[in-house]
Amino acid sequence: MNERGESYPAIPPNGKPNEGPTFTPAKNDPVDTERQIDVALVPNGHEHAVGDSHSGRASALTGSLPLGPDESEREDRGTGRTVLAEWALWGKQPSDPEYSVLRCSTGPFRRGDFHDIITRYASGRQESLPQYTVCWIPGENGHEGYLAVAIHELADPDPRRSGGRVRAARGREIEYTRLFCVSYSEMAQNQVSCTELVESVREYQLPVGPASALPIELLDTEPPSFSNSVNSLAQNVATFLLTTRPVRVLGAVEVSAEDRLRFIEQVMSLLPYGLRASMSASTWASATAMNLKLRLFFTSAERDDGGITVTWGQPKRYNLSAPEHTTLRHYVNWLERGGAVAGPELASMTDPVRFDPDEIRQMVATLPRDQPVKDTFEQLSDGLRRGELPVVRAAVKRLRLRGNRPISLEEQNQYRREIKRLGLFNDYPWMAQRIAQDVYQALLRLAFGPTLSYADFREIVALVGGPPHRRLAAEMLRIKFKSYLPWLLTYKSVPDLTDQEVLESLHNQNVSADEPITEFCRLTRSVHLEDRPDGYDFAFLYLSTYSPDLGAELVARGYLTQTLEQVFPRDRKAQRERIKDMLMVVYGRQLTKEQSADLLNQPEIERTAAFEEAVRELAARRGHRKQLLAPGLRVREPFERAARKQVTLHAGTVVIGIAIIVGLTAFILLIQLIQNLHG
Amino acid sequence: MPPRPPDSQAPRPQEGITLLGGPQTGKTTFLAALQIALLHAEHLGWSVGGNDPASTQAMIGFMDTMTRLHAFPRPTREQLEKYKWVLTGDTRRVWVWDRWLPRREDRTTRIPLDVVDGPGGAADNSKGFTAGLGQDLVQSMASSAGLIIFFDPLMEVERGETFQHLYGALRTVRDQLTPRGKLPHYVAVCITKYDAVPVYRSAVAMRVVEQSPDGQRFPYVPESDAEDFLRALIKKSSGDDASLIPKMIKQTFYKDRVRFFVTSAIGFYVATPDGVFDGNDYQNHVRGKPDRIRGGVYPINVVEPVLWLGNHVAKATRQ
Repeated sequence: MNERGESYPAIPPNGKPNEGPTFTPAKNDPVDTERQIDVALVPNGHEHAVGDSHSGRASALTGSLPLGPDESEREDRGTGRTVLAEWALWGKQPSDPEYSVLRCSTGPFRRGDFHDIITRYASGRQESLPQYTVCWIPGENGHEGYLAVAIHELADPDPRRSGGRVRAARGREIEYTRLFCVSYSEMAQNQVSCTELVESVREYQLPVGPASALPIELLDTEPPSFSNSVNSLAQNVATFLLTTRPVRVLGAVEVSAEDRLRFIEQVMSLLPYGLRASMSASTWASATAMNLKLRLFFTSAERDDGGITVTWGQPKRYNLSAPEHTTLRHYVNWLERGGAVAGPELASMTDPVRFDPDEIRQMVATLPRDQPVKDTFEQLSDGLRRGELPVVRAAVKRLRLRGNRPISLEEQNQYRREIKRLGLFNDYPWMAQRIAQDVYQALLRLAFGPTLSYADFREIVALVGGPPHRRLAAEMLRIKFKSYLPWLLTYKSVPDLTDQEVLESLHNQNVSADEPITEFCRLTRSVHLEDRPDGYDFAFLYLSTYSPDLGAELVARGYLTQTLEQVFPRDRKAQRERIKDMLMVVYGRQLTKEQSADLLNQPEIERTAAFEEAVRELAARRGHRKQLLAPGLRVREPFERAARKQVTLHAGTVVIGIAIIVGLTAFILLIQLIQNLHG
Repeated sequence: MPPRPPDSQAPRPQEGITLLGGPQTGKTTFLAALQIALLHAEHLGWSVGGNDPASTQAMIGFMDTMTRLHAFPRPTREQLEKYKWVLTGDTRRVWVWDRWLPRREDRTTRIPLDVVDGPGGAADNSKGFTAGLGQDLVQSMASSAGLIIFFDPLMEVERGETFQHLYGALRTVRDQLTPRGKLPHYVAVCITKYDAVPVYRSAVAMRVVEQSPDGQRFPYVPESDAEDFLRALIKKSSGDDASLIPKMIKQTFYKDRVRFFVTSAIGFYVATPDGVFDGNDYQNHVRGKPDRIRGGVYPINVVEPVLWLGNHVAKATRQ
């Protein structure tokens, strides 16, 4: 019987049929048509494998006992590690044109499960055998996740090594698949590679009839010795796999299937072990297959499946600067920084990870060991935007580690630029107080060091694009400040604090009454113009609140005229009012001629225009009833502010008011009168 | 008069051709032989090429396998394979109007030929069509404009399963597209392996064989006799339901969209390229492990169904 199940006369060596019918095209040939068809198509003894010792179900799969592995070889290469493998044999009976599961173990997977696994990861029409497929089985139906290797092969021509399988039937070679499935936890625990598993099961032929899982002793395998270009290509491929798009390798037709399998292992070794839990790869897949479920495969041509193509032996340095490649860039950076350490670290990452963009990003963000701070910043930014707590925590952890080492000024500047670019100081509402504290503290520490100066405060304002928001300000306040001013400005950024509370807070830190104003006067020129009024007013308020002898302080400081000119350079009225208030503290509500002359002649007082005006105004004042208020005191509640002011009513105003009221009353009465007259 | 397909109401399949048939009915070999058939049928003025690198690669592989290695293509395994080919006709010079002026222009007819080939087991009723390969096959059929249905007389005699490999898939597609009507597909029913001795002898016995007047004078079954030949072959099936096959085809498709062909992918053996058919020595299929092709490949009735379908599929796609 031939491949197509037909029978025909045996062909002699010259190829001529023994009894070929003579062609007679004439339709009127008196032939019994029905009888001829019967003769032609009824099995005539040739149908069933004349001379084909492999035909027939009985002899096919029960003839030989399964071969065990070569014991001596195993002793040489044994590693002492053993895993338990569920297994299945896929192929076809000689009498059956269709493929199916021929034998399988009786563990957690049923025959139908094995059928689904094998067909799901099918790689299409194969041009040569053997080939290897690596795949995974999700944990479900009460069993945990499994990893599997499939060996696609022809039966060995030597019956002693064929495992009771026939090599060909019905004119076709039978493509068998031996599938070995090991639980992921066992694989991870023993750090089993796919090449190791394939090498270890290669000689295992599968038993006929129901059988339990096979204990597989793992064999030692040679590490792959690829050229530098192939190693670089493996890194390319490992990186591309993180895009979750399939990767196909072209140009490896001449490379043996075993070397292709080693390459797949090389790629997988450049990824965390946990990704094997959802990895599928094959040493060959048909380029025209419609529904490949493989992430990495070798093939012969480009495919229109949205995948990424690489060419064997032709690694490339890809530009990963685009924002969509951030994760890949971080991973490449991490790998390259890791060098030889990266391998063991990746192998130790055995928590299962799926090829899902979010999981991949989190995985990269939580890679062990230090990463470039720039990458960590980007991961932190990603985590903050997406609300991914593990990513944020991992990034904070790495930033803290970096913060423990010396940081140069140049690095600090670079970190500040990154913080600004990525908006890391923004307020992310999803963050709990605790994590917000960790994030901002880590960033502040890296970008500004252990203490904050006024310049730092201004830098933060620039980074945030305005005053620091409440949570950031709260964290800034936990840091030591170089001077009172940045502390004050930070404190005042917290919207629910009153000046009184700020005063008390500063006082509780045992800051003397004159310290803020002294510092402010010293730094006025270096303080940003918009911060000067608040800084001055608060310093003055603090002085006036806690100084035991305010008058003496003011006299000694020359009524701060020069400072005021710097604080309000274009607002003479503001200067004048504040100077007047100070003068009233010392001299009362008005100045005598002598006092004003004396003031204007004192050499230690800087005579600014505002000072002169203030003196003149107070000297000219008669019966002025305005009470002294501390000029810097800012009260947040408007009604409270109004309540503190005493409004003086002038006599003219009262008269006019009464006249208006009388006029209106008269008008109303007149209207009513007119109405009554007409009514 | 058979009912005409209601053009406006019938769901419009998109494109391409899907091959439907049981395991080992010669689907892949048929496809692989197409390019060789077109080379032989030079007078028709058609050639086939790949429309993407993968399909081109597959064509080259098929050609190499069949001509250099004298082997049959490896079977399609647990996957649907899609070949994006294109049929290209001769370039003709035609008159066209350009800005109110006539001018001569070279025009080449190109018919996209997207063919989906799957393992025979995909169409097995018993495996269902709601998941896996069966579902993929049905989806492919539903979106195709043409179908090639393979009927292998030898397998039918031996196993009688052709109906089982047609009914479920066709029924599912019909329920999806036109539950109350007929499918709008163009269908070529190919009776395969005409070169096999029993099939050829049966054709001779039925007196439906004619001989080509030129070239190698290969015998062939004219299209007009193909359906009758199918009915005769069906009577010899080992299955009980083979007689339902023509009825099912008639019920499922519009009559004027179905044609029958008696085909051979490898053709008959001739000793030399310029030799003629020898009724005493024509067997081209050599038994072995695996089987091999004894001589040159001279496909019979491979071009005809594909060209006919290709033309209609192209029109259906343009509509």
